[in-house]
Amino acid sequence: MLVGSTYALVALGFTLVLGTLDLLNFAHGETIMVSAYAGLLMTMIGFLPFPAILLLTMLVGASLGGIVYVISFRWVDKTVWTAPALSTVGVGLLLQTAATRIWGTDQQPVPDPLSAIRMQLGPLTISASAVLIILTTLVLMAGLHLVLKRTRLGGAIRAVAESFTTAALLGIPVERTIALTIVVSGLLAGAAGVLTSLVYHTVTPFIGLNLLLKGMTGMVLGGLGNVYGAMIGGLFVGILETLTVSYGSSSYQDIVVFATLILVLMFRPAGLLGTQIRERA
Amino acid sequence: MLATQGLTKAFGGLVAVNDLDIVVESGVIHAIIGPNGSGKTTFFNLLSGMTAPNAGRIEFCGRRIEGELPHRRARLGIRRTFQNIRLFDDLSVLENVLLGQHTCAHAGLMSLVGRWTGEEKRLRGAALSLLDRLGIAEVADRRARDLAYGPRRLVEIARAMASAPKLLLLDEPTAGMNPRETEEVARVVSEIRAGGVTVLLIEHHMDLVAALAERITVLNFGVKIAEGSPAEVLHTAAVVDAYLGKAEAP
Amino acid sequence: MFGPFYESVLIGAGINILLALGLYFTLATGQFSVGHGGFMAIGAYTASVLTVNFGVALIPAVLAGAIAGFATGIVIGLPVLRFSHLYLAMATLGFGEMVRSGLSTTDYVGGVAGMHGMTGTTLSLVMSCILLAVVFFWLHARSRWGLACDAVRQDEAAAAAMGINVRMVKVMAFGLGAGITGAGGALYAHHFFFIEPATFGFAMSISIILFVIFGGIQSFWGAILGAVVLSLLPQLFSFLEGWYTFVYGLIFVVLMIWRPQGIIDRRALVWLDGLARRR
Repeated sequence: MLVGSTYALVALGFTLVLGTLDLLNFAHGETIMVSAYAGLLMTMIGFLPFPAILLLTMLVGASLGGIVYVISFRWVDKTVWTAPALSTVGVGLLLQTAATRIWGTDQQPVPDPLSAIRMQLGPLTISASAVLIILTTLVLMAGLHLVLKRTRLGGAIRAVAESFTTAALLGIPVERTIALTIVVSGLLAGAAGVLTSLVYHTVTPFIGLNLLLKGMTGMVLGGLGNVYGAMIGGLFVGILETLTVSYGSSSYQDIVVFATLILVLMFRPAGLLGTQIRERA
Repeated sequence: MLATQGLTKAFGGLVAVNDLDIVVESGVIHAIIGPNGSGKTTFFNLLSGMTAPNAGRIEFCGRRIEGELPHRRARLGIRRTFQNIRLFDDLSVLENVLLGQHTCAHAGLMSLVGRWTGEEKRLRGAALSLLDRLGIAEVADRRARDLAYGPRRLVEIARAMASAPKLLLLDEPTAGMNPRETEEVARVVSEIRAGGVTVLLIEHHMDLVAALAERITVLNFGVKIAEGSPAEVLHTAAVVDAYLGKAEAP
Repeated sequence: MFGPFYESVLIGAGINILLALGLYFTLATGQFSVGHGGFMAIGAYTASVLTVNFGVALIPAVLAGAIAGFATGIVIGLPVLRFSHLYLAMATLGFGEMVRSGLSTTDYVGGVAGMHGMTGTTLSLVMSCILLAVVFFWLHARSRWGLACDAVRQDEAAAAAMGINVRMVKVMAFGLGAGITGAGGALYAHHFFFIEPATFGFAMSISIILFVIFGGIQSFWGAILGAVVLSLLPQLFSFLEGWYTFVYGLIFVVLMIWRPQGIIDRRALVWLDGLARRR
């Protein structure tokens, strides 16, 4: 469940960019990873309360998103349709190498701000940090939903996702909306970074690809470009993983998830909830 | 040659083609006309297989084809041009026409060495003479994207004709052309018909339609509102209304 | 002929050429695969199991690796290539990681620790394979098949309207490309003596991509150039040890901004006297 909600966040950020721009942001995983380290740094400083850390980390994620926008989208000639996506691969590599150089390849432990507090909920013992993680995820998901449905920006994002030209004709600042979409995706990535490091209690510079794939699987399960599907898909992936670990063995958890990704893509690419993405012929 | 029954296509809430029954006789030029948005291009897409219908049947030379993929229909002898000219811009004019011959040639493993066979030379010759008949032989080696609009349309027609199709779907072949180019295309279409090919023509140039078409079907909002010979159809009140919106008949 | 060190470098470059050519074929129909490391792994492990566990000679083993790659490519390609390119990109990404993960947990092939004991790749073997591949691609570029592939790349719907079975073209190209990459993997294993699943992960897949996009995506010569340059460059810049990944990332980013079609593009080909282009 815990893991699932972080996957849902990852899937959300990834879907946002994919649905709006048809862009596979390969740097998404590394954005999360770097944000996780940023969050860790802030926690080590010691005197910042958790909400502040979360917000600041989200800002880190958002700035990385901005960088991705400029380098991989703004400055790239988009007539070569693979160019932006490949550029994000490059950005991801840069982030990963930088992180490896700075922090080394070992796992860094992540202190848990609320680990001492536990609560009884019927037969289950839940740590306060677990509640925190789930709560934060829910708040963020609700927040995104509100933004998409109720704000100007949300409307603009949904219009651009439908069609660049129509949106432009309607007077929507397409370029700026695209930039903001990637930045919002970065915000979500930042949050995902913090929460992931809390769930696993460690960070390494190599968690990026794995998270990207899990998020992708969640997104595909829920239907490409379908934001709400991504949320549910992510949760599903988490449950799938937990089940595999319980009934199988933990070394198979990745394989099961990746196999799910491939199988869904092969046989039911619209996902479980239907896709909203434009199909290129 | 071609018959549709109850052909229907809806996109979400918009019904583009509504319960169409159309019969196209062999060897004629049959025009499809109607105001913009009346479903003409969607109709062509349904015929060529680019879109699948929600309901209805399509029969071609006695075969049901509404479930067939586009490339199968092409193999059966249905070719088309597109409203916005879809040439393979990175390729030369000749290569475009050669692609039109795809179904007449070996194009699999055999073709690796096929290039130097007599058969292939014959096909190339045929392609070049086709371009020659259309008056554009001299641009055979130019990139398709470097050509002007008029010649591009002619190349597209040449490409569609390269496999000696039975049925040719022409989607607004004279769109955006000046009178001289329009004349040119009219001449070409006439010759195609004289060669025994059945032509389905979407057009907006009414003089062209009146001069060329032997039969006309009029669509409005995806529904057939008139059908018959040019004389019968072109002055019907319903048709004039559709185009001009309740104006007076000429 | 060459000293053993240089011979090893050349063999490495040659193997990279094969890997790049395998990916190029997929690209030629407009498809993008982000998981070719997986096909390389399948080829490598298939051949290795055959030579080490069953004593099969090298050349048949390499062939088997190629066939294994081809078969896997077809199996994956058939369902996925019905849809838009996005799906293939994601599916291949998942595939690459799944192969790596799967091999790590399969004890028969050594699990995470990998396999060892493979030898036998010679420069002449690698060169022969490359020659075969180049002849194939050269003929292909001039044939109707190549024409159909290019048409599919440019406009699938128009290609279908010509009677081209678009799906089959894409699947064949994908499968054959995967097969060539599998052969490359087999040769790799028998040159480096030791393989482990981690070798064939995402990093390998994007290295292969980099070879192709760096050299030029519009012709198979681009793949060859990219593989050669990026294989030999590290030899010159060995002081950058450890920063390779960073440099690769930089190349990706800068290349996409400055020259996304790669070094050899259509104009360059014309300028190079049209040797590799169709008449």
